Amino acid sequence: MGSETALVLRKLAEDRLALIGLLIVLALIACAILAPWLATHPEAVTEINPAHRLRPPGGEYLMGTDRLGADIYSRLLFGARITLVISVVAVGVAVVVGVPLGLVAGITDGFVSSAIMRLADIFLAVPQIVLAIAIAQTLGPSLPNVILALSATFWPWFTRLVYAETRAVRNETFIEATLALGASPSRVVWLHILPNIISPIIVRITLGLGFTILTAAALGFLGLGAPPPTPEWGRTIAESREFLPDAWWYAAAPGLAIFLVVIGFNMLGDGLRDVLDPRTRRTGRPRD
Amino acid sequence: MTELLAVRDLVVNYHTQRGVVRALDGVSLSIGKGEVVGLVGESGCGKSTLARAILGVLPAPASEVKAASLSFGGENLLALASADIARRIRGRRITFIPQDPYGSLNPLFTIGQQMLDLMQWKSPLAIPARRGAWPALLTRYPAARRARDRAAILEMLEAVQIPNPEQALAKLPHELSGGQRQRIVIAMALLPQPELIIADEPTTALDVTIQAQILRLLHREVKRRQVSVLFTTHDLGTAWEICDRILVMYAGQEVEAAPTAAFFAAPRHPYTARLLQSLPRADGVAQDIPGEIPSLLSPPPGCRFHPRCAEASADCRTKRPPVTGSAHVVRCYHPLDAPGEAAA
Amino acid sequence: MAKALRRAAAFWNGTGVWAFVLRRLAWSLGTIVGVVAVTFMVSHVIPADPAALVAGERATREQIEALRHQLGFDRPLITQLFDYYVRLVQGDLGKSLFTSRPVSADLLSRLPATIELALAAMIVTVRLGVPVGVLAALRRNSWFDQIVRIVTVSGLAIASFWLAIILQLTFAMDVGWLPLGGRLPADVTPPPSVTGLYTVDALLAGQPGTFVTAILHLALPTVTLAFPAMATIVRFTRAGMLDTLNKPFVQYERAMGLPESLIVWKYMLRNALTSTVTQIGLVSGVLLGGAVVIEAVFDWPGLGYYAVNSIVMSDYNAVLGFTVWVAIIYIAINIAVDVVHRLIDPRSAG
Repeated sequence: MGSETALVLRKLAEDRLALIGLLIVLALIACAILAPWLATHPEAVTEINPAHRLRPPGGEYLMGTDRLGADIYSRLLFGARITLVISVVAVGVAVVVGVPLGLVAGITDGFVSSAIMRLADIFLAVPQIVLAIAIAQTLGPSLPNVILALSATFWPWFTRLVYAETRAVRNETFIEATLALGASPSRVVWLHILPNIISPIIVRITLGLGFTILTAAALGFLGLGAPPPTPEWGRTIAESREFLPDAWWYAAAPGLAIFLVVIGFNMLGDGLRDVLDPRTRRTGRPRD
Repeated sequence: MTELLAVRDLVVNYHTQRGVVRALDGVSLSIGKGEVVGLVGESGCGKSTLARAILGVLPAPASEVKAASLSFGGENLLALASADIARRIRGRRITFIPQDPYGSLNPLFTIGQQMLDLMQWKSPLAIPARRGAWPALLTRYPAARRARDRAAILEMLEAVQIPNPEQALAKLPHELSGGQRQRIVIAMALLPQPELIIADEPTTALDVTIQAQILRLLHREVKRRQVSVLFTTHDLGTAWEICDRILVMYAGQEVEAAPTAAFFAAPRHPYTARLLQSLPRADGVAQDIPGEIPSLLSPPPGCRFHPRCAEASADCRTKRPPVTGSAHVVRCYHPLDAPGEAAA
Repeated sequence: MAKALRRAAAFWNGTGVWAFVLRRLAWSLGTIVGVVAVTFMVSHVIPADPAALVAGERATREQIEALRHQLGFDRPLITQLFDYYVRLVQGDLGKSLFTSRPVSADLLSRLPATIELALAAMIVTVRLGVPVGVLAALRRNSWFDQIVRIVTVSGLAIASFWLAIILQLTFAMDVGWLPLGGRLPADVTPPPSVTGLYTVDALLAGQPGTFVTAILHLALPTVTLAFPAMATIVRFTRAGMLDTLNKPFVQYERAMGLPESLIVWKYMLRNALTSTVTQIGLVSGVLLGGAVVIEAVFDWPGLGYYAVNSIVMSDYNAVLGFTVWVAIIYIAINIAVDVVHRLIDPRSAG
């Protein structure tokens, strides 16, 4: 396992785009942790300074100020915390719920299996953001509710992925042989099936983090995210609209932040897919 | 017999990540009008490369093709632009029978669609498109010609013994058996009324019983039409059945060429002799050739067979042997004696 | 009778396209029943007191109780759900609490705007995405391919509402080349309604001026909506073409000297599209979801705009009705995609 991880890392290091993606993700984590120290105006999240409202970028304010005179750069840094928490927790919950359900549906036959997959089908029958909007709307705008809405709509993707992978692995001869030798099914799952399907799950988690950030930002934009004065990126863009086109930096900065972070997760995910999951290669390089 | 195809000193190098693969090392070959020539060798000896080089369809940037001459029907193929070859020669005067009937027909189009598309561009009734003409997809297929071509297709399917030709045209490749698909591609090779057919191991992928039927069919149809054939195979028995002349290749070099009867009566190159001995025989004694086929990334100098040859001398290890003999040609410093041919 | 049943069963299990569609429809019916149950539960169980939510913050206790009874919230949940199904079959999604009109009528009047936008985006996506994907594959690793790769990676990472705002900022606000939002300016009367699509109706009515105006209004929302969808289509077409590039049948077609354009745009493309088409179902989900946000930004009076307004007004009936509609549309698109897939790749029949 140790040498395998090293091999994956070495191959990943050769992929320039994946490396850039990894750096962006690490930078996001660093920003989130070090926000109070990196911020030029750490009090910006709550403080109101109407005298300095809508200042253009430059001088004291790296990226300008918002409608309340708060430093946008500092608010972005604190917003990174929210972005990271929402996406990691939402995807984490989706994994914790979706993966076991997929395993159970994949290993068993009959009613339980088809009931789980029917339920997943039902959740997948509505575009994710529409269902998330419906859930977030009834729950009311708050951080935990956004997370709940996102994980409630994201788990079936993991269930379906794990189900398909488990079915594929289950049909391999070595699983049959292990079961024939008298190994218990749960032992087979932990020792044989899970290690074999972990790669696609990791890839889907990485790409899912980027996708979840986008969806969360859209919810924030629609006013369904954490309520003000939270420096949520999507909400900041919504706030900026009435001050356009003059205060262009107000909309540009958070949008660029979302773009950069999502592109980071996507490039890392694509790179991981090339290394870990050669069957579904993005580039489709011809086999020679 | 008039000469149709003449290849002299053809060299093909593939540039790969691991280095230069010397796939063909100065191969010469000639095919007369109406002659069926068998190109025999083990897999990886360069048969398919030779076939593709003549067609001009080797992968473009990675392969390098050189020859003293490559002439077909009086035209120098090396001097022609590749678009010109595609338009006037390939599919018209030289057609192709692929090795793999399962993968070579497009799985998403009906047999009729694929045959008619071929005929729109390659039928003897079609005028070769001018250079830089209207894009092919937008070119109309004149209805009158289409009807005549369709009749020709049905007639040809009859000739290659496809039952219910009309119905076969409406079918998708996967609805036909491998043998039927091979009959289809043979029909497609014959339809443009070419002068030369290049058949790249056309029966290898088929069942043994069907192989024989297809071989007889191919032989009958080409002899009836006086079409020349370059037939590559790794199987000496197949070559013996349908070829007028045989050319044996080893690791990118041709080693021996002779009329079929003379060849089987008295092989003159040590490699071919061992090859014939390695065939399973009625008395059950078959001898393998010791040693392994050399890597074409760093082939041995001189005669590429010398590391495995019991007769090898100092010359064999440094210089490529010259061509000796006239009808029965051999490239060896120590050829085995043959009646009527003096060893050099 | 028995014979008729047997024939019906044979048709049902057969490989014909219509039997296939019928089977899929039957299967989808179950899914829609499930979707309604899930969204109904979400909107009726999660809020501690839905009647209070509907009544608003300033309502008195008596008002809330009256409303609870009026809306039937005091009855068992399963009865409410059953009632909802019964009304749904009749096309009745309840009354909008905001417009006081039937939700179905509200949705129906806003449907053409969304269809026009989604259709325009789909046309741009496919018409542009497929050829770009093909060319990128043919010129792999060229500068063109590199640019395409950068653009597609961006397309999947950009927040569509942000892109919408940036486009407005660039093309509408300062320079005024394109309108900021809406389907037509207030002083232009919409063309007589035939299809409900302003561009088509304007052409049918012979009003070229209105047609151009409608197209200009469509431009920015369409680009915004199509961008991420196009990224997906380009990536899959490119990968599909690369996969096809060295297939034996392509080598055979080349060896027979068929025109290169025929090989690429007819024979290879259809093979590459078999995997792309399956993505169009997914892409239509992206389009439908994206439409919600983008319509809000561009004041495009479609389903999404209506849904966002309903969210703001806590109009639960409207949100629920919208969700059910979107589910039905999405399922219908996916069935259509499967049918197209079967037409492109007849091998998948059976």
